[in-house]
Amino acid sequence: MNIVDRLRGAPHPEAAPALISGDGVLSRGRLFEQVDAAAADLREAGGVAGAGAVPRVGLLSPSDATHLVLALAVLRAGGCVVPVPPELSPAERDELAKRVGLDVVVVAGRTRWRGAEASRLSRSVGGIDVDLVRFAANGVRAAGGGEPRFSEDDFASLDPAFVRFSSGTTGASKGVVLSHETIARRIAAANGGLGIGADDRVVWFLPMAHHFVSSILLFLQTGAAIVLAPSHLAADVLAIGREQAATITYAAPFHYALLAAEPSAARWPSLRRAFSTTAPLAVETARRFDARLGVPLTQVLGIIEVGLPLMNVERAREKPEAVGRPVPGFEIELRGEPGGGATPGEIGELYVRGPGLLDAYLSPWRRRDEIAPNGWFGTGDLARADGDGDLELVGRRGSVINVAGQKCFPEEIEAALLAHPAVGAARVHGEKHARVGAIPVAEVVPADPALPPTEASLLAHCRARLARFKVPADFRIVSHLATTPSGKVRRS
Amino acid sequence: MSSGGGPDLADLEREIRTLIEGRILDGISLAPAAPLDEAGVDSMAVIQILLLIEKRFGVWLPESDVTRENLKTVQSLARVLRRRLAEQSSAA
Repeated sequence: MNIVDRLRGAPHPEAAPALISGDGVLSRGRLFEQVDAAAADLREAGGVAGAGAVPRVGLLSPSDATHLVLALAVLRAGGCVVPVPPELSPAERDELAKRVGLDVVVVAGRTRWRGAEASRLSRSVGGIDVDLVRFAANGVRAAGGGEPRFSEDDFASLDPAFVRFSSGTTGASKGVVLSHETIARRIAAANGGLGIGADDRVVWFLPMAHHFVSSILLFLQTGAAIVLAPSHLAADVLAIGREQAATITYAAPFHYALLAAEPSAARWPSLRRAFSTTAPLAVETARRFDARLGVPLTQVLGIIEVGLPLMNVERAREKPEAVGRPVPGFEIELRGEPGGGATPGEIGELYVRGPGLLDAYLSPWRRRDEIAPNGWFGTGDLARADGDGDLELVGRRGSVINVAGQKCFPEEIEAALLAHPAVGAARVHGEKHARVGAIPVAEVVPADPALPPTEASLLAHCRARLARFKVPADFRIVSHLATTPSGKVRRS
Repeated sequence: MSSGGGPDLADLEREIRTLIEGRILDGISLAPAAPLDEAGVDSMAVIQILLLIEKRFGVWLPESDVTRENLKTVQSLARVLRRRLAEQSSAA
C-alpha cells in the first residue's frame, strides 16, 4: 500500500493541524489536498510516474512545508523520493545523480541545480514553483557513468519509496532503499518507543533531507502536529515552543546545548520529552538542559539502515549518556571478536534485528538478506551494557567522522584530495573536538616534495568538491603515510 | 569608537567576511551589514562558522553567544568575537 494512503487513512480529523509555521496552520485535510494537486501536476509534467519502472526523483528543497508536500506528492505520483541534501557540493550532487540513476530532480526554493542535466522546466506543482531538472535518460547515463549497476526490475520489485543517498553506516555502499511497507513498519516500531500521540506538538528544525521517515512521516501517522521553528537558535525554539504549547523536541546535542545556555528565565511547561539524536550526548549538556527546563534528554539511536531501534526512555534523567534499551520488536546482541558474544560489561559490536530494516543498498546492489544474515544488522557501533541492561555507545568500528551530527567518511575526503594535482597521497582522520565531537583533519604527501600544495589551494580544491563540513579543518604536509604490512594506508 | 585594547574591529570584520565568503558562501560577496541568514547562512553553517573562528582566532564562542543578534551580520559577529578575544587576553 502506498505510504501516503496509509498516512492519510490514519484516524485523525481533517481539521487537525499537520504543520504549524510562520505561514499559519496547515491542516491534515489541506495538506493532503495540496499533495493530490501536486501529484497531479507532477504526473502531467511527465517523467515522475513510470510505466513498470519506478522513477527515482531527486528532491532539493528548503526544509519546510514545501519539502513535505513535494515528497508526499512524488510518492503519491508513484515515484521514489531521493532527498538531495542542500549542503552537497555540485560535484557531490552529480555523484548522487549518477550513482542513484536519477530520472528527474524537483528543485524548490532559492537553490539551483548546478551540474549535468539535459533539460529544465519551470512550473507550478501544487501551487509551489519548482524547476524540474531532467537528465538525458537518467542521471547515470547523463553523467557519463554507464548503465546503473542494478536492474530496474529488481529495484521496482521492492516497491521502493525512498532512497537515502548516503554512505549509510559503513561507507561501503551508497543509497539505502526503503519500500512503502518498510516505512510503515519502521514508523510503527519507532513509535513503540517514542510514544507520540495525536495530542503532541513537535517542535522541528532538523533538516528534512536527513530526517524524514522515522520523524516527519511518523508524526503524520500518529496525528502529532509539526511546529516548524524559524531557526535552530535557542530564543526562536523556546519562543515557538511556548507559544504553540509544544510537547516534544527532536534535535541534536548541539541544539540542546544552545537551549541550555538560553539566558532568559522563560520556562517551557508544556514540554514533556526531548529526544536527542544524530551524535553522542555529553552528560554535561543533558544536566544543564535538565536544570534549565526541567526535562531530561532522552537519547535515541537512529541508524539509516534500521530506523530507531534503541531509546533511553526509562532512565533519561539518571543516565543521560545511555542509549537505553531496544524498543519493542527489536532484539540486540553485542558481539565480541571474532563473532562470539560479549559478556556483560564487555564491549562488543552492536547487532540489531527487528522490523523496518532497509530493503537494499542501491550501489553496489545488495538485498536485505545479504546485508543482514538471519535479520541481524551489524551497526558498526561499539557498545557496552550496564547492570540494568542499558546500553552505552563507546565508539565506532568504522571510520565515520561525526561533525555535530553531520557524518562523513575519510575515504570520500581522501578521494577528493587525490584529485588535486599536487597531492601524491592523503589520509584523513577524525580528530576529537570538545564542542562538535570530531573534525576531519588531513595528512597530505606532496606529489613533488619540492612543490607542496598550499593550504589555500587545498581548501579551494576541497570546497569545490565537498560539502563544507567535510572540508578538513587542518592540512598537514607529511613526507609519507604509515602503511600496513599489506601496503594499505594504516588507519588509527 | 574606542579602540579599548584587543584587535581592531575593522580587521576582524574583514577576516570574518573572508572566511564566510570563501568557506561558507562559495565566494559570494557579502556586505558588512548584510543579513547573514538571507545570504544563505543556515543552521548547519553556524557550526562551521564557529569552527572557522576557533581555528583562525583560537576562541570558541560559547553557546550563550550563538544568538540571532550576534549572528545577524559580519559586523555583529566581529563585535562579539572582539569581546571574547579581549576577555581572553586580559585573563592571560
